[in-house]
Amino acid sequence: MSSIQISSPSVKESYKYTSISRLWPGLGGQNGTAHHSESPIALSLTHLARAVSEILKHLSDPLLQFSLLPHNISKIQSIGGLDAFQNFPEHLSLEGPQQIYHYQLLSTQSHSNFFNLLVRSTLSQPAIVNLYAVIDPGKNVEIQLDCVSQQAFPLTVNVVFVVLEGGHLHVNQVLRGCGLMRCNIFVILHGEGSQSHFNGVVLSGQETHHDLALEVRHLARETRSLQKVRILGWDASVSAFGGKIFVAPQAPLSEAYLEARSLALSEESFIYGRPFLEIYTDNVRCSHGYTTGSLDENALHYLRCRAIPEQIARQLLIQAFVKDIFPSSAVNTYPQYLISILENHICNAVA
Amino acid sequence: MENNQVLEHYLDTEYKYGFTSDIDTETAPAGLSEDIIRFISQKKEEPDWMLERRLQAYRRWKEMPEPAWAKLRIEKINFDQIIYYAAPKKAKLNSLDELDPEIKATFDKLGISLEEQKMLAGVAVDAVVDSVSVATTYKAKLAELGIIFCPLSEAIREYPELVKKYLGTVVPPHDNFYACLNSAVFSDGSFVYVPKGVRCPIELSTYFRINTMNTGQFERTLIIADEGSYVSYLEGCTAPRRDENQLHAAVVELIALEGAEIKYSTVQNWYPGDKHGRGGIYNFVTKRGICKGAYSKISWTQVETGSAITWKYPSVILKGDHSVGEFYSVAVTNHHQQADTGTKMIHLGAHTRSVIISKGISAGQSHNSYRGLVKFARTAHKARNYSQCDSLLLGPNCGAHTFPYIETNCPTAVAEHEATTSKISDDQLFYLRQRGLDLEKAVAMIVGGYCREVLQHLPMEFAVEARKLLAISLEGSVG
Amino acid sequence: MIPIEQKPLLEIRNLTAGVESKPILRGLNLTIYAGETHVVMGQNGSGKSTLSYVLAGKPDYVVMEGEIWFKGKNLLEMSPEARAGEGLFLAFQYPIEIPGLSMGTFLKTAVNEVRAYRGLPSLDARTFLALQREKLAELGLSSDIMGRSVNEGFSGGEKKKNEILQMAMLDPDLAILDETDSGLDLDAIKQVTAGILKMKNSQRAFLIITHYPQIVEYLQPDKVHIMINGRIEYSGGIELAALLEKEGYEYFKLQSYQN
Repeated sequence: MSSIQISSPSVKESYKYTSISRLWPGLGGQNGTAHHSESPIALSLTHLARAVSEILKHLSDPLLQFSLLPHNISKIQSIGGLDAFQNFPEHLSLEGPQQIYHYQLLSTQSHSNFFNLLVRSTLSQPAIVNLYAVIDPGKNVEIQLDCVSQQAFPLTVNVVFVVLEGGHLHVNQVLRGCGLMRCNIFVILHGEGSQSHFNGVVLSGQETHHDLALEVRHLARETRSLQKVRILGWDASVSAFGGKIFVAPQAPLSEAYLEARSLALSEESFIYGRPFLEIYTDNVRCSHGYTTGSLDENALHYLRCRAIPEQIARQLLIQAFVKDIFPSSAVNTYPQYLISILENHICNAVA
Repeated sequence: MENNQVLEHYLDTEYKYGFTSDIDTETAPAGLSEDIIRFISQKKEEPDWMLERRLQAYRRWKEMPEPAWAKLRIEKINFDQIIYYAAPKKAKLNSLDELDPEIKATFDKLGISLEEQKMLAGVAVDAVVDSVSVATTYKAKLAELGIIFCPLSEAIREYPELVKKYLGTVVPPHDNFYACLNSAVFSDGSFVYVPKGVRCPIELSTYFRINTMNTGQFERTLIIADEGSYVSYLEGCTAPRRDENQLHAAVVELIALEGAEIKYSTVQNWYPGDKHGRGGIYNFVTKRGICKGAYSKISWTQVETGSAITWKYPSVILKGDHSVGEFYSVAVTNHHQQADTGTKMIHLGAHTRSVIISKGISAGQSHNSYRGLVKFARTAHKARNYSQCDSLLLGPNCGAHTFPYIETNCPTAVAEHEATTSKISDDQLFYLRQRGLDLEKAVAMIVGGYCREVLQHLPMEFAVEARKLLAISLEGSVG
Repeated sequence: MIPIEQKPLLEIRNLTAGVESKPILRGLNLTIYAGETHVVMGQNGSGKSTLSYVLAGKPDYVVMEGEIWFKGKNLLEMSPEARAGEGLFLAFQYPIEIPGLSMGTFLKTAVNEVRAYRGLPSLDARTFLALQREKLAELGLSSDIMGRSVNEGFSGGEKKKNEILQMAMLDPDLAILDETDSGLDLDAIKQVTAGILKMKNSQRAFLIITHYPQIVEYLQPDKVHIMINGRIEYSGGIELAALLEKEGYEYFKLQSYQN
């Protein structure tokens, strides 16, 4: 079985990662004290490219085995955006390095365009989860990702979405938990007119280290992407967001927008923002904005003038800060699931 | 179609200042060793402590890997083929009359003849041809105010205490590969000291030229503004065309003490290589300033149009409370040029503020990247940063990239970063042409407007030259 | 009009206050009784908005001297939310935008917090909605705004009406309106003043800050004050506003210098 070995990120990609030595002295990797398989490892771009080209090559054959994909993911189906991962067994341990898939499907509901996924490493081992999905031409898919890190067991989540002609992908994601997590999301706008919309929230807590690396690659004409990310830096935590918009020469008339905002809520929190643009053609509209700061004192005062106690006012403002990115008129109940997670988290954190 | 022709024409505009002047030079053998470093140090009549510093840096450098993180394609540099020292023979001059006629002619061709410069708008010129300063003007006048403006080699001999105290404190030898190389082999550069409370009445200026085949230039500049003083320094570069790649690894250090202000402006127009990407200067520069005292200010303004490869991040360490750092940049790349440039604003002090305005313009097959770091340490209470990084793409085959890094460890600090990518719209061009402007004028006008925010921070004399350069590099480059 | 036998609702004595160490208000005195409507007029920079912020307890504002009593309690010792709970309402000159926080959540939280402060039970959803619908209709606002984020993307008129809506919902004893009339067209001013007039009763007082004399006509206040340089220099009835309209602020300034 010639499965691709996942290697350490190449030098070129190392920018995406923050040093973990501060919170996870044993996992730095450089001094070689930790066992190789214990450190969360990224999917390198080369591997990604190969995996994607494989996916695309075999789209016509939905049941094909992909022995080349990392960890021998059993099946990849080209399906109308529905239940793309349903073929995974719930607990799947693999040969080779100690890497474990563990995920739970929340529900798939009757609405054919909604798909929900919960990624949670609950086992007493570090885990790497690799997920691939292809959005079929013209299909509209909405995915909720709830990624929860566990104390002492680093979690790496690699997700690749390939959006074909005219497909629409909508992802809502929350990173939370109490440990070390790295999440690499690749959105590949492969087909003409394909679109993606990503909303991500990074929540932190005591001793958490959460890295979210989001890369959107515009590879075809008239593709559009919108990325919105919110980061809350609480307690002694490290939160990093690396967002890259890549527009290939063959993607004229594309539009990309990335908006990331972070809120520093503790003197001991570290927040790293890296909103990158890589543009290889001129007829495109791309921009990004990044801000970092603390709660708006004027807004706080405004709420207090309306009799809202300071603690609740803070809570409302922090909730507003993250909820701002979710569409207000969600027909779907699933974002509500994430939103209630956020609300509870913030409520507890403020209290 | 017509647009394309004009485009081709202007994309073909080759380096205007590409010519060679023939000056006798005294050169060291190619390659680097401890002996070569001793040779350099001896040639410059340096004290032992300086030689020792060079040797330490060299030993360190030998252990260091070349950096590979920038978004640049660099051919392997053979450091053994570089000549690390070259000086015009008649190095010591008492007056401008003794200047080598060839050098003088070179300056005349560039339109920066010293005589003219001397009279022009009170600009003192410390002209550097290859590695040794050959003429310094206005020295006496500055001396009256206690301002020291001289070649660094001279300062090492004349003002060792100042040099010892400050050289290498902002950019330590081991800072990075090229800075370390520079610390070992630096040739010469400017030294400026402005005493307490003195406002330097003229813009201090140096013109650099790279002239000898295969001679790396390793400029080293040190500027110290003592408490409450002010100085504005201009650096401008043009270079003759060459086919071989020439390495330039300069280090500039600025130190602003309490209440002092340093304004450092650069127009960089070194040979960028031909339109097929052959030749051109490798420009790997480490520029950094420290706002050491409270209420001090350092402002970098740069217009980068030359060099085959630019790797340069003029930075400010904001240590003093209420200190201010500014970075205004226009970077233009055409043909096969590559630029990876930006800044680092390191906020350590409370109430420190920084502003970053970067305008990247790419044409041809070139690649232009902004890379910048804004960092708030825990002590940077109520610090603020505003960054704006815009890219303009002229043509479908070039690249424009933005790599900002924002790191926060202070809840009261506020940073705002914005970046946009755009092209010149056909509507804008049509509108201007309908009003009677030809295509290249229309583009020049639009680009000029696009860069205005940056150019307005240049001193008058420089702004004119910068506009000229922009026009030469970009007129009509519309895709 | 002034009710007999009453303690003042609001009493400001010799108030000196400002931002950082710079005083903007310099020894200001003002007494308001329940049921009264007061108009404070003054030029930009005279300290009108500072007065409103100090009353509402904006954190940046420092009181250097003097005291403020509200319903017999020391206002300066209260947090902004306690002041609101006591029944002090400020309609902001520049209402704050809060993206992501829906008007519905905001208003409901505020109403129930005020009720809790006053020892009243929370409103059930139906009662709240009915109340909300009624107040919205009075101001000619669409119920759509309840789904929008607080003040975000509101037009100038919508923002000001939104302040009046909140005032109506929170049922204050003293409403301070900071230039609520400025930037509005005639129709909107009429709607806003109608909203104010509707709320006038013997228990409630208004402190209206403006620099346009016109609104005085609509509101028919009990008292008009002219503020110059951080103090109330002139107080009178609506005739004072008429005089001001005729003579301009310079006239009053000159008078005050001569005194």
